[in-house]
Amino acid sequence: MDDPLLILDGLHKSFGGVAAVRGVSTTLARGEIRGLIGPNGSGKTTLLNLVGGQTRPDRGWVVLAGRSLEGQPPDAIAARGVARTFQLPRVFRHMTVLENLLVVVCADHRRAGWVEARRDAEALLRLVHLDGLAHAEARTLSGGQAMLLQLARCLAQRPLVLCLLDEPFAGVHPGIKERMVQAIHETNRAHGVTFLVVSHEMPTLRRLAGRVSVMHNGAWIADGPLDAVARDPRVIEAYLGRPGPGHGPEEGRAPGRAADGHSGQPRDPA
Amino acid sequence: MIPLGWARALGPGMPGASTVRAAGAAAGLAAAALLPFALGSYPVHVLTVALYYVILASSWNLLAGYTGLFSLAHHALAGLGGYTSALLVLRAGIPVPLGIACGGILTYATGYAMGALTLRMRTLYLALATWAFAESTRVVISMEYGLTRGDLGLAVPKLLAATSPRPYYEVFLAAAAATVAGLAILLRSRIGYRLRAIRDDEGVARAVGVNTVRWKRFVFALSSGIAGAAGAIYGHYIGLLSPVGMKFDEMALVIIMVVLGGQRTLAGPVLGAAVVEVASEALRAYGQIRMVVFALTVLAVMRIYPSGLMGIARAMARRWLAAA
Repeated sequence: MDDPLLILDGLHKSFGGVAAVRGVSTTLARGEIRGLIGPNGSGKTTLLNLVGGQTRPDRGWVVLAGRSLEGQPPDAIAARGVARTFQLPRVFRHMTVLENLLVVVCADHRRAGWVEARRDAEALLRLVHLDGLAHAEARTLSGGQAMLLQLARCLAQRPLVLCLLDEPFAGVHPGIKERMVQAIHETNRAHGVTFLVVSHEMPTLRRLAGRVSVMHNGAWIADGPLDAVARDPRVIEAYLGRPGPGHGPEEGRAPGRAADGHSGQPRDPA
Repeated sequence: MIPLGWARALGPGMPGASTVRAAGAAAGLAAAALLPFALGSYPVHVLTVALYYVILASSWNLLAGYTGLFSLAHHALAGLGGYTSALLVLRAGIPVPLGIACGGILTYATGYAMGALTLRMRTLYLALATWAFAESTRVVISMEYGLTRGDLGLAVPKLLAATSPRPYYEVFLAAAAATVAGLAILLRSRIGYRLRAIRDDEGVARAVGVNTVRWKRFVFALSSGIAGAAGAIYGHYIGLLSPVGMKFDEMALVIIMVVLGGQRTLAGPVLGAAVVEVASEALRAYGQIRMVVFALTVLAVMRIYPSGLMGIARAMARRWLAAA
């Protein structure tokens, strides 16, 4: 717990004239589960892309376990132990559920034996309760099941030190959400894996994350325990567009509780 | 219900299925090897050409079907391999088998370069870029009259002394069997998983640690090398190479074979090549109208049975097993 697992130092990324991420600096401790919230378009996904190597920063550094990720392609970053899911579930549609996990074992940096790999993949499917669908083609899965498969794929990666989850609970049935929370907790406890979870679901984040960070217009505006963050006037302003007490993203009135999970605005607070 | 369960056990990746399939393939191969003794020399020639297309279609299926890289240069690479081997044999005096190997190696390198240059291209852009390469190659070969004799055609030394197509048939059968078996092994390996992952979602493949750059170059190189070597053997069989054989019609024919037979199956291109080549010979009297017939057939197959003849065969087998 001494030196942090992930250091973001002055990260900046613009697309055309729009600054998606501006000057983000923060650290994630080893074994931490960190929530990341913020209105739509606040730069959360871009930030994950910068860490995962899908996007390169204009300025600033990402340092993982003491070594910079500068200039590294996503496959090299995966080999360093970074895994991620995507906001809209992305699975290998023409492969079976089991094969989706076996691909991970077939990554260039992996050397695991086939028998062992298959056994691990089957264990993971049991963990996320997808074992009954092991031989179904992934394109036949529902949105929530695809989300689960994404998570399992993430957890199948080795080495695994950091999981970046992009709105893993959006549009997911409460029962499936429960399995995801359990799987995240189990992996975190058993292997000390660090998680950065983008979500609008405050009740779920409360159960998962010790600390929550808030982004707004590409900037990192607040950091801390969820309740403290939810009372922060800057956060309230970011969500409501005007300062005012009692309108923060509190539990039970999560921003983006709208069924599509895309709205960054809380529902009518009445 | 029990037979249905058995049919399901024959699904992809099941150990039982692979044994059944391997046995079926071995029996088919033995029958194919004996076939020319029951046929006259013209039908054997047609089947020999069909086997050449089996190799082209199978290697293109690896690239376009399994990996999702829709290249339109396969016919040109076959032609390039043919010319490379023929010219080396004619001008440098090397033995024909060595020439064939050189044709394969040169097209492997060409494919590697094409893969490297088109790394960021998908679908239409990739198709256009590879098509431009194919046309340029054909035009250059056609214009370099001094070296290639252009449209007059290049007389190519034969691979075998035999005049009968039978020994050639066996050569092509061995080459086609080796290609399909090699692809079967490749696709079951870790590399096969990587390629299929690239087809489905390149970004995710990369994010889980697949070096997509390396494997896209590799698959381009390998399928091009196979096409080049096949083209070289073909040249030394037919005895005449001409840029006319590198026209887009050839590529269209390969696409028709793969789509009709069933993309992303090993048996599909084999079946498709055999059906299309034999039908093409049977309908020779009707001239170019054949291509229209094939095009319409492909349209119908894509609309009704996107998985091709193999998909139809599988569905029928399943129904039959369920009824039994």
